[in-house]
Amino acid sequence: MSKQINVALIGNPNTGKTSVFNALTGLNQKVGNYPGITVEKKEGICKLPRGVKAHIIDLPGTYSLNASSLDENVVIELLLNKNDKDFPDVAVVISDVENLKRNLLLFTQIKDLEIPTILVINMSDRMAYKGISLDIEYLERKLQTKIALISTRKNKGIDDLKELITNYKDLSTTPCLNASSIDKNYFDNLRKAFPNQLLYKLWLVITQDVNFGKTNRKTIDDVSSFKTKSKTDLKRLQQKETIKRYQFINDTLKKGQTIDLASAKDLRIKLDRILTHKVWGYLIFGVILLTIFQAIYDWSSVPMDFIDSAFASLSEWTKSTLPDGAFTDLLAEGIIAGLGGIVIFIPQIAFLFLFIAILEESGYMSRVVFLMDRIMRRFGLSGKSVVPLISGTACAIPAIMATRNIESWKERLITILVTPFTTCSARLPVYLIIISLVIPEGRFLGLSYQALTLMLLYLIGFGAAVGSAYILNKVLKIRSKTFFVVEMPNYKLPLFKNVALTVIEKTKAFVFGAGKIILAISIVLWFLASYGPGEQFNNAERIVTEQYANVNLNEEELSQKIASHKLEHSFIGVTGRAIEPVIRPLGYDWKIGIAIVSSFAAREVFVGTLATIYSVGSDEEETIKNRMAGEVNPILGGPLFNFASGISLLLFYAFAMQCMSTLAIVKKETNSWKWPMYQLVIMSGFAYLVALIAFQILK
Amino acid sequence: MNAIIQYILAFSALTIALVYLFKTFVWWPKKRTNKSCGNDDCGCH
Amino acid sequence: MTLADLKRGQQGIIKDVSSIHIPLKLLEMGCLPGNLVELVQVAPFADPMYLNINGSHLAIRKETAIHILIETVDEQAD
Ligand SMILES: Nc1nc2c(ncn2[C@@H]2O[C@H](COP(=O)(O)OP(=O)(O)OP(=O)(O)O)[C@@H](O)[C@H]2O)c(=O)[nH]1
Ligand SMILES: [Mg+2]
Repeated sequence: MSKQINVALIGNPNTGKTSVFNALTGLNQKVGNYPGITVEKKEGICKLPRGVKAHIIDLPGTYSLNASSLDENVVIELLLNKNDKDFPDVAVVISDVENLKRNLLLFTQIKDLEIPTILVINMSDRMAYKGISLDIEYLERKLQTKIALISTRKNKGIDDLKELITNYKDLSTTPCLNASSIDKNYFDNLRKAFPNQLLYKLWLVITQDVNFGKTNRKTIDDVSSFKTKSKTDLKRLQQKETIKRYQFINDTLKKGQTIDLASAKDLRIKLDRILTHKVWGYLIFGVILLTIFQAIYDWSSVPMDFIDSAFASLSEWTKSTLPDGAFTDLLAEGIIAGLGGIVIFIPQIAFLFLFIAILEESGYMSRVVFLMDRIMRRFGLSGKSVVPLISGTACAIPAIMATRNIESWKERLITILVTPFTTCSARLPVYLIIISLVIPEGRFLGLSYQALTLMLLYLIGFGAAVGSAYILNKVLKIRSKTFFVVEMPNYKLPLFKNVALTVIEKTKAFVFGAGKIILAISIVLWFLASYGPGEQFNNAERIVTEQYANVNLNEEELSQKIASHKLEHSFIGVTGRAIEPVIRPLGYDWKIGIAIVSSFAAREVFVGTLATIYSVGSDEEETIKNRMAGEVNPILGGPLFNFASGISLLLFYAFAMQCMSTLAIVKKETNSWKWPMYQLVIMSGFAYLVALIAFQILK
Repeated sequence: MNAIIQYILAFSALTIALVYLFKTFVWWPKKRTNKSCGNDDCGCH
Repeated sequence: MTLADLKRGQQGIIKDVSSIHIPLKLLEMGCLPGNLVELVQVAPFADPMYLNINGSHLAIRKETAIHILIETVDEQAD
């Protein structure tokens, strides 16, 4: 078997590397109009003409080979390590036709590494719109490369690119300019000291500046002994190098590219005048958020009720159709009830993902970064922290990974630590069901109270994130320099396919990822709720019948009493009542207590757990919502889910750290168990305290 | 007879559930840290 | 004068970027002597600043902008 060709897709952020990757491999990696969507290596296989196969590697975007953040570092580590199994046989540099000049800087650097290189000029569909025309032959000659002019949106030129990759052996490896002329002496000495090494590679290793995280660069040869120049001198040289490269690029493009400004149109200026305006910008941002919350409520209440009652009837039907027995009960009371607790939230989750995808694909996200930087900085965050905080509303895990493009380690660490406060989609089910139980239905200025409560909860989440960032900024004694340079991408009409794919993929991940856990937990809970130790459980029927001997109960009421007596004395009832003293001051009963404990695995397990417990404890098949509304507080009387306990629960979920996966990712990104453990203890402790105070005041 | 089959089914479901939970929550820290996990929400819910 | 002194909509030519407070990344994104720079938009308190440098659109903070020396362009262009 012949070896696969290793192909690395390299380029500035947001030039369409992932779009090209998807086009070549047929995969669906996430694409978005924001620099820094891809933060780690992704791999795929591409079938080339004549039966050749290529192993394609999608990489995070980088502006140059001088990494200034962790995601960019991935690219440098790969290119500097010849022994890496992914070291490219051919580098495909993806550029954006609108930003060709800036994109070519990285290209010239890669050429200096003497790797066979193809230049892809992407987004050719925008050329006419921008009045750009290119002299491809001239550019190929000047840049010593082969060029593929493509458009992934219009699906043009992909085959040419495949052809070029197949024939990568014909590509030239000559650098297109001589960078070492910036300081001849220094480079001559360097060459003498390490005669076997590529000069430009040495220079890169010497000048790498690591300030964005704890990286170990064992993979790269140690040349630190050769730092004969001071840091400032090195930086001067790098500046000189950059200027020299740009001179070359300007010369090249002067002849190779013509831009007819008269025919260039630009929507950007008009839109930015409003969207980044001092007043309007913030106002519009607020309106967008409000619309999202209102929509999550209004558009999804119908499908939600429909799903809820469909599951209730399904459960009913199962019980009446299948033969009696343990498995039928497990199916009806455990599995179907538990699954109903997750499926019911699909509409809202899908809407939430839809909005986030549109914000990302349109280019608006960078405007929010711009608007928020100044405010965030006061709290020790960076404007770039806004992206994790916003995408954290979907899920904290990708959000925490998205912090990799924050340059300063301190800002990054703080962002990682506070991101779990943002209201992730797993909290949404808990919020929605409790809000619908305890918040009245009226409207205020066209916005329902329930939607406003939801928005308030999101704001509390952001507030908690920002507030704790402020404290962390004061407490953490990490010195790391900060700087802030963000690209403002052009607006793009969100591509329906990209948006739809994101929504489907994410919703699927929500349903199946959470679904499996919820299913498993429901099954276990059902057993714990259906079996119990000792006299009280085994002889429940006799005990209850005797107890109510004098009271006139009909058949149905009696069996209801028996069922709940059994539940109280089942394994789960016994455990639940053991922990009840801890949560009673918050206004919860033992069933809620069990739901809270099980939702430390993942928050959305809460509703499913309650659904299973209630379902075992009663005869009738009911919707989840009606069951919760019918619960009675065992001590105080009245509905269990009333305003006081409802608010207390909402606040508990707003602050508590209840997601194992998030803890694991924090461990991975910070390289220590210390930070996730702090998060777990401090956040959950705080949640308990706030919920306690809220209930005691409101009750 | 029927009841026995029902019990067997129910308890095998329990076993599968327990094994699954054990694998995801007790075993995984070691396994998943190596696995690359990007935007696809690996186990985020 | 420095970049921080530009008014919204004003243009200038970059003169000097050799200060050590300017991150290399900014130069790599095209902020180099001789290039035309336009202040597209400012956030409240003129910070951060949204620039168009020779067709590259980017935002930087004021603390960086005060280290970039520029010269204004005469209004004759319009
Ligand atoms: N008009 C047009 N837009 C494109 C084309 N290819 C990609 N895009 C858009 O460009 C944006 C960036 O695409 P990505 O593929 O995420 O870019 P990337 O280089 O992987 O970005 P990072 O991972 O953030 O570095 C998305 O909004 C795409 O829809 C194209 O050929 N034409
Ligand atoms: Mg990408």
